[in-house]
Parts: sequence; C-alpha cells; structure tokens
Amino acid sequence: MLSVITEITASEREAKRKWDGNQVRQVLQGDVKAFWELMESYYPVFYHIALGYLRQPELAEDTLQEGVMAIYQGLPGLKDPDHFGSWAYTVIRRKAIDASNRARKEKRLESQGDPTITRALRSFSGGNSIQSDPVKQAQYQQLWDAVNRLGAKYRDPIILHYFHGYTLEEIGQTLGLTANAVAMRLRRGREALRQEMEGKES
Amino acid sequence: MRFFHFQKDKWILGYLWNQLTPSAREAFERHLEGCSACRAQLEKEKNLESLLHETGEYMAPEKEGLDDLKAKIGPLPPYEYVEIKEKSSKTPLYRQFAFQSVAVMAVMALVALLIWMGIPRIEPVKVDKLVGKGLLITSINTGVTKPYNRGDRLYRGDILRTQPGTRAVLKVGNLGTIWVQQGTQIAFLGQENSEFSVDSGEIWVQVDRHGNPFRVHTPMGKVSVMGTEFRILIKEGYLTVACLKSKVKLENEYGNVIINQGWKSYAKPGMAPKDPVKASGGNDWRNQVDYYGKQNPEQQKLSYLQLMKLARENYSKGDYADAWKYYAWASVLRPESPRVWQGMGYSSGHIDQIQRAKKEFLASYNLDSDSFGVDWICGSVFLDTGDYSMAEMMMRRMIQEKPQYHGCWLLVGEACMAQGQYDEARNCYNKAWITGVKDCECCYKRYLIDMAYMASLSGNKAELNAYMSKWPKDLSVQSFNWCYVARTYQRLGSIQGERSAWYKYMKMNPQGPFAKEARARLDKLENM
Repeated sequence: MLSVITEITASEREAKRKWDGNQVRQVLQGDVKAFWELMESYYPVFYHIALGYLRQPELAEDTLQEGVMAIYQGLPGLKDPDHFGSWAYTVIRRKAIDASNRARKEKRLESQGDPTITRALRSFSGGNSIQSDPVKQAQYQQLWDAVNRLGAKYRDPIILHYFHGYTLEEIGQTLGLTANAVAMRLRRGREALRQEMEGKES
Repeated sequence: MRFFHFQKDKWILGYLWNQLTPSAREAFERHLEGCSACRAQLEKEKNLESLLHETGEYMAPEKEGLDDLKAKIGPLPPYEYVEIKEKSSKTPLYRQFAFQSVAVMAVMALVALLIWMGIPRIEPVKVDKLVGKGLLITSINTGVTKPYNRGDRLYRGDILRTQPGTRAVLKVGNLGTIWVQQGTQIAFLGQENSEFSVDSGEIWVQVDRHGNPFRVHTPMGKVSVMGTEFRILIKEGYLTVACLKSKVKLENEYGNVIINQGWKSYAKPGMAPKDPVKASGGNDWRNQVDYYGKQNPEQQKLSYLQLMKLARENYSKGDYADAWKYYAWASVLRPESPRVWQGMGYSSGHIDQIQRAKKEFLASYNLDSDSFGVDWICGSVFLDTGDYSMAEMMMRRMIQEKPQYHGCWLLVGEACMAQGQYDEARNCYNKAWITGVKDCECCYKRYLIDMAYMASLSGNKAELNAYMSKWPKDLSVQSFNWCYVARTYQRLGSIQGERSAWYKYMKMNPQGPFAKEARARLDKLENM
C-alpha cells in the first residue's frame, strides 16, 4: 500500500516542496524516472480527488491517465517548480471535472454515490490493526461514502487535510483561498459529515 | 478575551487545530472546566477528527494502481534539456524605480488628503446599528416611503420612522450619536444635520463635538443643547427632556428652563416647561440596541436561539426571574415571535407579576391567536386580573384539547362563578371532581375554597362547614381565591380570618380587581 501522509510538520512540507522542485528540474533534463517518483508521492491525492468527482474507480483511473500525461506535457511551462503540487492538483481537478461532465452527458454517472467506490477500495485494504476490526471498517466506509457525497467545495479540503495531511495554508495556496476560508469550509464539511453519521446511527 | 457560547463550534475547532491565540486558548480551557456540553462536543469532534484520519489511511489506493497507470501510459519520451524560466536575479528596470514612484505617489496622496480635509462638508447621517426590520424612510425628494436596507443613503430632510420592535442607532456625521426607540419619528434638518425634529417616540442623544448648534424641534417646544447627553421622550401629549451630562435648554413660546445634569423637565402644548425634577433610569433598551445592533442578521438569529435556549433551561429549572430576563432580551431581537411573549407571560405568572403577565399573554395572543398555548397559569393570570370572559374562553379551548384535565374544569368554574353564573360553575366543579381534582393538592385547595364560598352564598351552613373543615392550614392559592376566603369569613363574621385573607390578597395583587373592596373592608375592620 502507498503511504499516506497524515502528520507532517511545516518544515517537512517545505522540504517536500523543494524536493518536488528538484524532481521537476531533473525531469526537464531528461530523467523520466524522476517523474514517476514524483507521481508516486502524489498518486494517492490525485486518485482521491478524481474519485471524488467521478465516483467510479475505472473512470477515475482513465482520468488520471489523461491527467498524468497533461502534467508531463505541461512541465516545461511551469513557472515555479517548487509549487508543482498545487499546479498538478489544478490539472487533475480540471480533467476530473471535464470527465465528469462528459460522463454525465453519456449518463454513465449516477447522481448518488456509487457503492462500487467502496467495493473497489475495500479490495485494496491490507491487514493492519485498524482494518481488522469489522465495526471500524464499516465506519470508515460509511464516512468515506459520506465524504464523497459532499460537494467539491467541502470535499476537496477534507480530502487534502484529513486524508493527505495538508495544512490549512497549503490548501489555501492550492485552492486559491485564505486559511480562514479553508477553515470555514472544513468546519461546514465536518458539520455535514457529523449530521450524516449521527443520522445513520440513530 | 471572552468566550461566547453561540460561537462554540468555531472555538472548539480552533482549539483542536491549534489556531486560538494564547489568551483565547486559556479562556476556552477555563470555560471547558465548567461546561460539560462543550467538553462533550470537543470529545465528539476529536473522535471525528481521528476517524477521518484513519479513513484516509484505510481508503488509500494500492501501489498496483500506479503500476497499472504506468503500464497504460507506456514509456514517456524523455525531455532533451529544457531551460526553466525561473525568476531572474537581476532586478528589472521598473523595479529599480519602484521605491521612487511609490514615494511620489504617497506625497501626492498626502497633499490630496490635506486638501480634502480642509474642505468643509456635510457629514451624512448613517444608520450605525439596527435591531428589527421595521425602519421606514420617507424620502424628501420623492415622497416615497420604503423599508431601510443596509447601505441606503439618508438625505437631509428624509423622515425616519421606527415601527414597533425596531430600534436603531444613528451616527450624525462626527457631531454625535442618536439612539432611536421603537415607535419614533425623526427628521433631519439644518445645514450640518445638527437640527432635527421629533414628532413622537423616544431618543437619546450623545453629542461628541461641541460648538455646533444642536437643536431638537418637537411639537411641544425646542430643545437646545448645551451639554453632551440627553434623552427626549414624547408620550401621551407630553414632552419629557432628561439631561444626563452638562446642561440642556428646553424652551417654547411660553417660557424656558435650563435642565442640569441628572434632572428632567416636562412640557405640553400651550404650557411653559415645568421646573426640573430629579431623573433616573430608563436606558435598558439603549444597551440592548448597542449590543445586538452590532451583529449581522445571522448573528442576531444565533443570539436569539441562544437566549431562547437559556430561557427554557432556566424555566425548566424553576428559575423564573432569570427565564423572564432571557425571554425579554430575546423579545428585543424577535418582537414578532409569539413564543417569546408567551414565555415571558408564563415566567411572570410564576413570580406573581400578574399585571405584566397579562400584558405579555395578550401580546402573544394578538400575534398568533391560533397557536396560542393555554395552561392553568395563563387562565389564572386572566382570572387574577379580572378578565373572566377571556379566562373562560381560553380554558374552554384547553378543555377541547384535554377534557380529562381537572384544572381546566376548575378554572372554567371559577370564571363562571366570578361572572355570577353559579349553575354553570357548579356543573364545572362537578366535572373537576369527576376528573380527579381531589388528587391534586393545589387544585383541591382552590376547589374547597370555591365550594365553601358557593355554600356560603346559598346559605347552606352544613355544606359550608363540611368544606371549611377540610381547608388545609397552608392556604397558598391565587389572589382571587383569597378574595373568596375573605368573603366567606365575612359571611361567617370572622374578623381575624377576613382581615388576614384581605391582607394576603393585597400583598399578592395590589392592582387586582378586588383591591378597592379589600381596602374598604380593611379600613372598616380596623375601626371595628
């Protein structure tokens, strides 16, 4: 399983940004391996973001394919390689929105959450201590479905912050918002999640 | 820093995300020690926080996904050396002269500011704070009256009217501040908006800048300001002017008076102003509009909900005085809500503020008679204030909802008896007996008193003695029951019992419908 960044300090984030920049520079000097190393660190975020828009793993994978190609081709135009993360997020998000619009036209996308998301991801689950508890597993899946039912406005900050450890300031930079606005979105998103979870429990 | 409960969600998350300032964090931790609700919510939020983190970890995609992606994309063509257009270390020309150009612009702005400050101009009147939605403006230019919306500009000569339940704070340029009470009509005149006319209602004025001719015209006279803070009230044809700081001059065509700090004077049409007398109190609404007027409608809604919650909590604890206080504050924010007035009525009823309770019940009933909830306190309040037909009507409405509740039958019986309908009253008392009045201590006392009085009226001594023998020692009942106790003793010729009952009545309800009778009887008994 790919590691998911959960608890990362500001200095570690800064180091990660520098590392991103170096990788981009190496790619532009002909090192394709450096690109795949970069993708390995971003794949979980991109996958979750795309899945949030598309709700079907196979559509998300197709979109990621397009997105990763676009990122590779767009690298020479990137003005600040240290900000690769927020730029790449934007590329993936746009691709996901386009794909979702296309799919909606073709009526391939259901309006409600698709149970296949949970099913597909469940098959990935490994054997660590959290996942061996069936009650916990059910809770995770329920929460995961609830997150995916939120609008993108609240879903993306939750995915970035809770699933991938981005700080409020980083999400703000990525989404073009202030940290306070991100905090407000997180608060409202959590409120919606809490209501949904409590509603289901009762 | 103060912690406000209605913002608790923001504080709890701020605390969790380490975003509070040290003083705010300390204030919140202090609050947490004493608030179990906040502690419970914090715990809930922590659980959700960790559950979200764990979900992210659990739902992470497998590495094979990336390998599949690599396979689908295939080998990527490597870039031949691409130069990155990163920021140059050489400062561009426009940057080299940036400081000079900013400095020139700053000097120009300063000169423009100085010129602008030197030009005399009329500061507009602004609505600084507003509680309620009923602020109407009649435009001097078009004559059209429309509700005020935030940001509307007020012009000299426009007439402002606050409807019931609406209060406002006006800023008159840099001259001062005016607090406008509900039901007030005010218009701004004069060169610097420093003169205005008030036709009705109440205002408080605070003058910030001196040396300006600040004058208020009213139908009963003119108020010239020599001081800094004063209050004007026009009610029932009288003008009252109270001075809170420095001096105020009140004059009309018949004479004038100077009112000093802490004094007030009266005037009415066709009469010179009265000599000043000592003034006191009356600024509660000013504090309320200052506090809630700062809030936007969303915050006002939250404050209202918070106040209603506090009021209900205090009411259920039996702390009726505090419950009334919170309901009263809520009524400032939502005077149109019948629930608020009803809550005030019930709270007042419990603390024997009978006249006040009646006014509050009527306010609630007039706002929404269909959903007006009735119970025996409400019925008792109307009985205590002598409004028997209203009490009967309300309790009969309650009988339709709860025909098996003895309290309704008892109160209808009392209302009928007070109106002289003894047969109907007896029927109702019978119903009360059937529905179990005997099992309720407080109602049974009232039942025994009423039945004894009925027996004394009909001259049935055996029945009278039978009921009186069952009277408990502690006869704590409503005020009008004391009237019947007194009358029963009067018929029996017991001076001691009658005097004690009338005293009880006067203590509980000195403005009640039997107060005159009580006073007359007590005077007579003193001379016996």
